[in-house]
Amino acid sequence: MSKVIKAAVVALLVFAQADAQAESLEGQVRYSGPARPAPELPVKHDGHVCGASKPDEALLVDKAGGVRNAVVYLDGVTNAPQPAATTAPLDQKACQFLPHVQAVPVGSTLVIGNSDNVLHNVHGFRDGETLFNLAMPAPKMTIKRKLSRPGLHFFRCDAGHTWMSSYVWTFPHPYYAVTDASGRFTIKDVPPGKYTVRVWHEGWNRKDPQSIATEHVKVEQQVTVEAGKAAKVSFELK
Amino acid sequence: MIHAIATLALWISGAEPAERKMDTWVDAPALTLPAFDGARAWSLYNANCRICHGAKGKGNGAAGRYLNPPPRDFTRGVYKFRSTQTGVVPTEQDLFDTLTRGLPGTSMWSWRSMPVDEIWQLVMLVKSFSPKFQSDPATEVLAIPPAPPSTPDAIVRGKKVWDAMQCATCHGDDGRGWGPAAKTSKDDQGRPSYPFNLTRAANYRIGAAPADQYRTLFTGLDGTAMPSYSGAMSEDEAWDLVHFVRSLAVDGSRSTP
Repeated sequence: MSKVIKAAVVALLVFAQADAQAESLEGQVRYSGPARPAPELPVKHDGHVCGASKPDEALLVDKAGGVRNAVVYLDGVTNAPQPAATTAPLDQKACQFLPHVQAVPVGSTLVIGNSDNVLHNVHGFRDGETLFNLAMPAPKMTIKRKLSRPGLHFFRCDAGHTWMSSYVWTFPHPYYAVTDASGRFTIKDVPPGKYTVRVWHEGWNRKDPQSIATEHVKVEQQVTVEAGKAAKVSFELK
Repeated sequence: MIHAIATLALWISGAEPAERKMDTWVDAPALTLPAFDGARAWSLYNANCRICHGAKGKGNGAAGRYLNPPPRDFTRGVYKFRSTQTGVVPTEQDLFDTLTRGLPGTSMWSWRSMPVDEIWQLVMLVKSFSPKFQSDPATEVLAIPPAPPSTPDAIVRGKKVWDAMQCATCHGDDGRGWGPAAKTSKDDQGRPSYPFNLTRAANYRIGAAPADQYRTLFTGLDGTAMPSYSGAMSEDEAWDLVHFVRSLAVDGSRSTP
């Protein structure tokens, strides 16, 4: 049997096995640092469209301490099925990117819209360098961009809307999730094994709450997923 | 093909095509470059470029820290002056043009006096500082149609495009670069990125011909806040805008060079 066929058979077996025994990994990301009032960011330009102020989206914590918009993913996964590329909508409404944080399979197409009758320019970054910078002066204009590399993408608007920010993660495997309003997440169909589970959060500017944090928060844990029961893990951000 | 047939049908029927012709991009012309001679290129670089751009191309040479705007960090692979789409590295021709033209208004002067063969060696060396030239090479460049003449009507139409594109957000109503977003405008590295004073046309970095301004509208200036207007306006609108912007010049550089 040739090496290729062998590899294919092994991959099929692993895949079938994973499917049969895969479990979900559930948990919560919580905030346990000092109380931090979410300030309103002042709007100094285009107030007629943007409003007088915008909510600070950096650290969204519910009453029970759950952190929204954290991205949880398995690191160092090999032999994972490649998820099908999809579309990732990114709208700009009342001078705010919607959604603020999302995660999609690598190769997905970002579909950027502008619901505001004002100039936005979508300045995309990957690894801190410009990925593209496109003006969107007209509502109803749509821009499509394929995100062909795995990793973190950051979007801002240079047209005087300093508070606008959005993060898009792309993954080459299906084992990721974005926490909901209560900080909870579920990663489905994880094959049994030992994993490093990483949590990324955009961070919050501890000194100046009115500017976007440049240091992201990253934590990790080792987790063992066993066949027959859902694995649980929780994270604390301080 | 379908598009061609539709255009033909419109032409035969005498109707105007309803769609605005947006910016078009064509295959980058193939270049035949001399063989790369690393030792020679490095020797040229160390003698001429290193003082500003640094020993490893990071833009942090001994003189670099005193310059505003700062010298390019070649390792980032992000370039303002390109004929390529936003986010794409420049072509070899773009780098060659920057070296021979220089960047007016900055400390980067023209290297026109250098033998052409040596400039190509430097182009290839500059490319080697960033892996992007290998992983995502430039394949397409902006097609620049012939510039229509500047007429009073074109300038009036151009003002409407200026308003629709909201250029004044950064460049200000008078084009001097003090629009409401100017104060918060930043480059990739978080440094202030001042909108260009469009009344000083002699300082256009990429050249002062109408075609140069047309190009910048659709390529943007990557690494700065100046976005690409690709897909946001038609070719005709861009030419009208170019003529309006050129009419703002106060330094005697309004005419086509």
